[in-house]
Amino acid sequence: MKESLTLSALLAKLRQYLVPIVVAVVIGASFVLVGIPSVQSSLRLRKEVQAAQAELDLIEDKVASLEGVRESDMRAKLDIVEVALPSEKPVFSAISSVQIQAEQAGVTVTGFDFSPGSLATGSAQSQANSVTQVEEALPGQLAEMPMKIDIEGSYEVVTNYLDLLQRTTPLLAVTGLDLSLSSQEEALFSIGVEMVAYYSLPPEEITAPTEPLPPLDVASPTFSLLSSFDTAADLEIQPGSGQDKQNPFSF
Amino acid sequence: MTTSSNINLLTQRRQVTKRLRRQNQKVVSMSVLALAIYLAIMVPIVGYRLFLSQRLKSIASDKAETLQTLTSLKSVEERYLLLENKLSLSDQVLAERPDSKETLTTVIGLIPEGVVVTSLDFGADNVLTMSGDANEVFAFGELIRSLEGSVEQGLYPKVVLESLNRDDEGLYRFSVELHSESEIIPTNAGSGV
Repeated sequence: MKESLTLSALLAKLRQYLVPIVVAVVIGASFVLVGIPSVQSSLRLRKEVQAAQAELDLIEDKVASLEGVRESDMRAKLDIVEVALPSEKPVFSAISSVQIQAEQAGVTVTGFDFSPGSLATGSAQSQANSVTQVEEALPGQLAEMPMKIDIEGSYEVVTNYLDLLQRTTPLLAVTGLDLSLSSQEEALFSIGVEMVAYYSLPPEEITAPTEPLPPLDVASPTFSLLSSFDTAADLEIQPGSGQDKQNPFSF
Repeated sequence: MTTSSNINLLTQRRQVTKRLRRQNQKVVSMSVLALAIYLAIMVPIVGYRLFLSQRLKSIASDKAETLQTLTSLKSVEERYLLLENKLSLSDQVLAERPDSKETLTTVIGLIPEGVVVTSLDFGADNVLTMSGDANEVFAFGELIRSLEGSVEQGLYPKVVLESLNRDDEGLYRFSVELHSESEIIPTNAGSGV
């Protein structure tokens, strides 16, 4: 009788605490199984969303920048810089420019030393001063094509020629001068002008989608400066007759 | 007497039962409250997680769309990058290439009687190498004085006599480095003019 009373009291007590025990177990299990992973994944997702949003913003900015570009204006400016800094080795245009400027300045061209090397690739070879240089042009970087021209003229005419070379395209830079007096009576100088013609192969790849576009000053005074330079672009190569040359030993 | 005692026991039992029920209700209420608080915390967390998942999907979709637009603008980007690249390189050339006419004029202005310049080499880092001949040692001395003057005037902050020798014809052949900028660390080596 006493035993059954104790058992029923125990059951009653257990019934009394059954709900809180179940609730505690549910909360505990749920916290471990759902709560903690949810909080962890929420934090991770929040970071991912922030990173993805930042990435999307960058891409959208880039698209907006590109959509804002005035294509016709860009093409015109590209034509100017392409003449000044060609994407290929400027063999013909460089020879034409230095000779046209020589005629304009009134100097006499007495010689020419020019070994541009392979035309299809970016390498340039010069044998100026009997030193062979081979320069590999890398995409998007400045490349030089060495050349040497021997001229003769008075001091004024020669300095005028040097000045004209500074204002011609493709862009040239005088790297050395070999000077000698060829005629004492007529005060004529004989000068070997060593120079390089610059060119640049186009950049190989476009930038990554998230990489912002480099700033471009469309109003740069360089455009007007370069367009004011003399160019040999007007001197066009005359097309051939289309027939094979019959005699290779005559003009 | 027995009846009264029974009534008392019943009343007492009722009171105990009532108290126990109240206690039970309190425990259940507290449990329900705890569960409600827990759910009030967890539901927003789970909801926020779902929201973030949806947001991530939405961003990924927007990104794919934007990338498609970017791909369609590839040719514009190529031209833009080409223009930017060529413009910056042109600026670099225009800024860094030596002014040969001005240099020649300046150097000729420094040359005294009896000295001739045979070559000018426009090297990198604003260094001009001048080679020439002097027909007598006094003419060479004059050249040195002239170059010292150019250092004092700041025309060429540093002048280095690279070599000097006398050939069979009695000409003094010299080679001088003219630095437009004094970027070279001072050293005892070489002979600063």
